[in-house]
Amino acid sequence: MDSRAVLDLAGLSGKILLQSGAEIYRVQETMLRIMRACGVEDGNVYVVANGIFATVHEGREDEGCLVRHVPLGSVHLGYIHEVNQISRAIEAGTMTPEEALRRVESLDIPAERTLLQVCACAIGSGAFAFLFGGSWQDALAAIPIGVALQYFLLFVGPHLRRGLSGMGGGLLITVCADLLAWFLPVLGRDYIVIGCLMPLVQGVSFTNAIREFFNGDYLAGVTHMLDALMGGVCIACGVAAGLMLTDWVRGCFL
Amino acid sequence: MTQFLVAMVGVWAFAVLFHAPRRFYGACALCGGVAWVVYLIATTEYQAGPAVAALLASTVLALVAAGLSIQLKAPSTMFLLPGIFPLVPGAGIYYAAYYMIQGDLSLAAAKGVETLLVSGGIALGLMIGAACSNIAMRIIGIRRRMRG
Repeated sequence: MDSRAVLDLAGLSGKILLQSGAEIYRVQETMLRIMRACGVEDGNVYVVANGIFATVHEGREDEGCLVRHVPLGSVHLGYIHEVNQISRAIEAGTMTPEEALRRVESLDIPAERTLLQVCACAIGSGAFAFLFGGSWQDALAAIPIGVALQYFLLFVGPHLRRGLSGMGGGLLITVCADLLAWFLPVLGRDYIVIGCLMPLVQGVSFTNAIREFFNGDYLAGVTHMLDALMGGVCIACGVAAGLMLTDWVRGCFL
Repeated sequence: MTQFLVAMVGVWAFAVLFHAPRRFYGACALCGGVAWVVYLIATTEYQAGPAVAALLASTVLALVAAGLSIQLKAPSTMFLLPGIFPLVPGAGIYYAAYYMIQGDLSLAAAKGVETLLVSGGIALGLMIGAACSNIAMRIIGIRRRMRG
């Protein structure tokens, strides 16, 4: 494989890792490993939270450089695992670089959203409503709202800015939970809302931010931390708007 | 026990949402369940504050995740990202907004600060756990080398 193809292979692997939610350290390490395993000794990689820069064989005849913009994407742990195994296989010599490129290219598609995931979101919402002090009735009530939330994130989310989808989700949950609790007074609105908020919270950005700080990648750490913080503030705004709205509607009726 | 099982179900749901490979579902759920139980025991049995409890729980979580990642040969991210969710202060965000609307600004601020403190606790815990597991791996590595 010539140096250009190696660079493309490493760049694509890095891009998939980064947008699936891997830490900067892992992205850099994997890219360098792939380059070394393919016979490129003089490779440089620089990765930030939403971009990759890489060069190979600088100053030589076959030099190459690569810049990729990688917007913050949706988490896909399966892809991280897959790329990790591919890079190990190349290193161990059990997979040729050409084969690896084919495998990595097959991963470069947005993850499909299945019915299973809608169910998971619903069940997760129910479970967390129960964990944070709700009764089993609250957990059951959180399930349909979890379904509604996931469909909202699927169909409306992609058209909104990152913060706005959190805000809209918070608003949706609060209004739905308030309506349910209004008609069925046994339900505790607070627990339902808290349970359903969990899929919206930027737990991944937060966890990754801490791990970037731990590894010394402060630039990416700050980006992720700010993402998590803004996400939290946006959700709070959405919930607050929902509460105001439902209070106002009640005021009109009662 | 019920709490442990429900926490496992919740974390399993997040493992599915994050497209974890199917064979890791169980390990992810176990991680989160253990973290939640540590959190519960710390808050109920030892009257620890939420931030301290979150610190302890996330330390344990990071250690368990590191152990599982070696055992199952998968990146520790796999277990850490879903497993963290029972500890993430979603309730704090809600109550901060709730008291803000009620006009009780001091309570809202208190909840907001508590949320930030819990986040800090999780951060510290994850770092301690990661540092400990790094050291443990070095020691194991050195032992192996001395034997071999």
